[in-house]
Amino acid sequence: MTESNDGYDPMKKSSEARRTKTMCADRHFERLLNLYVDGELPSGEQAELFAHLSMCAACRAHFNVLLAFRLVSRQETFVVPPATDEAVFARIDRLRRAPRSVLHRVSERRFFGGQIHGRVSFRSALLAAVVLIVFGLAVRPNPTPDATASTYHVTETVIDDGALYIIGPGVTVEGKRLGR
Amino acid sequence: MPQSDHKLIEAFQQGDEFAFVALYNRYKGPVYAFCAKMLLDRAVAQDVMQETFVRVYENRQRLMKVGSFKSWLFTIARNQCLNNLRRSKRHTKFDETAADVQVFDGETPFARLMKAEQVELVNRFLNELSPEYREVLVLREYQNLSYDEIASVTRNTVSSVKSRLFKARRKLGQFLQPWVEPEGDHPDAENPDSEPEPHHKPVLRRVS
Repeated sequence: MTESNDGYDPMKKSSEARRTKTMCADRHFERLLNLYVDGELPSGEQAELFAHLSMCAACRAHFNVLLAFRLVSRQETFVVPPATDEAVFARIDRLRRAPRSVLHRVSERRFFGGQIHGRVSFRSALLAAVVLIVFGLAVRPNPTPDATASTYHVTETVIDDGALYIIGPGVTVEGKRLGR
Repeated sequence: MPQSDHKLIEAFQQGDEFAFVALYNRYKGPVYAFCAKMLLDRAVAQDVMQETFVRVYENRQRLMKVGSFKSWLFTIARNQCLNNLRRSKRHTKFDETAADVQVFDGETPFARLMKAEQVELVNRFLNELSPEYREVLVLREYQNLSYDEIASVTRNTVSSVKSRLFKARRKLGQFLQPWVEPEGDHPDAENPDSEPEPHHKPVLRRVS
């Protein structure tokens, strides 16, 4: 199966040149052959297939390939190593002992006490955060005055002579006298 | 007498952990085989199989809602395999040393070697196939699933499954034909004087 010294690659050779020879042009019989191999061909149609097989070398060759492939697939064994069994049960044991961590898996997250099931994608979470920030900025209340800072409002008032003014203690009144 | 899947699932949902162990022991081999042929790497297949059964354990409450446990299990395994293939782009490489064949009593080392060679050849072919063709072929040939079951696992129609399976087999014929022992009526037989091509060896029928 390895590449030979003359640069010949068995993978590439795979029948490009003989493709036209190996396949029967009649797709109807190819379909019948496949159904027969899968045990799905009604017995009434089997005679038609066998009659064709007796005459068509390409279909017989294809049939042989399918049977050979099935033989190989049935001979190959798959034994799960004991270490894999142990790993599976160790993981399951961890899940069983720590049910809280199971709930924190993305697929198991529950919202509103389990009333709503669903996954929250990062994009949705980001969009929700942006909307909340924009909304928060839009309805932001007026800043409250800082109790520690003193604020003075200077108002210019024209004082007329002749009237009575009551001025509280500690208040300085400045103004220019209007000429009469 | 072994219990049915349905009874085991019921017992498992009621808290019987041994029922899960029984389900695991029943299906670990087929799931591992499926993953191994899909991924063509046994070490990765073990990880994927592990993840598949952990998901079954986590989602045990959903088990009764699905028709066939086997189909559901293979659907999980298939999704895991496709995710893995997508992530790792593993189409181009496979574990050539992992061929593991059944050894029969009295079997010669040569026969064993031939079997390993056949498995490697088949793996080379599967590696050439795209995952959508590979999955139907593996489910049919290695797992012996029916068209309906394959359609259920792959979330496709039966006609689509048949179409993909037949096309995969056509590719199989084109790939393996040179290695199948020629008969008298082989297409090559029309030119018997021609020299056999290098590496054109009939490996697929010697140990049958």
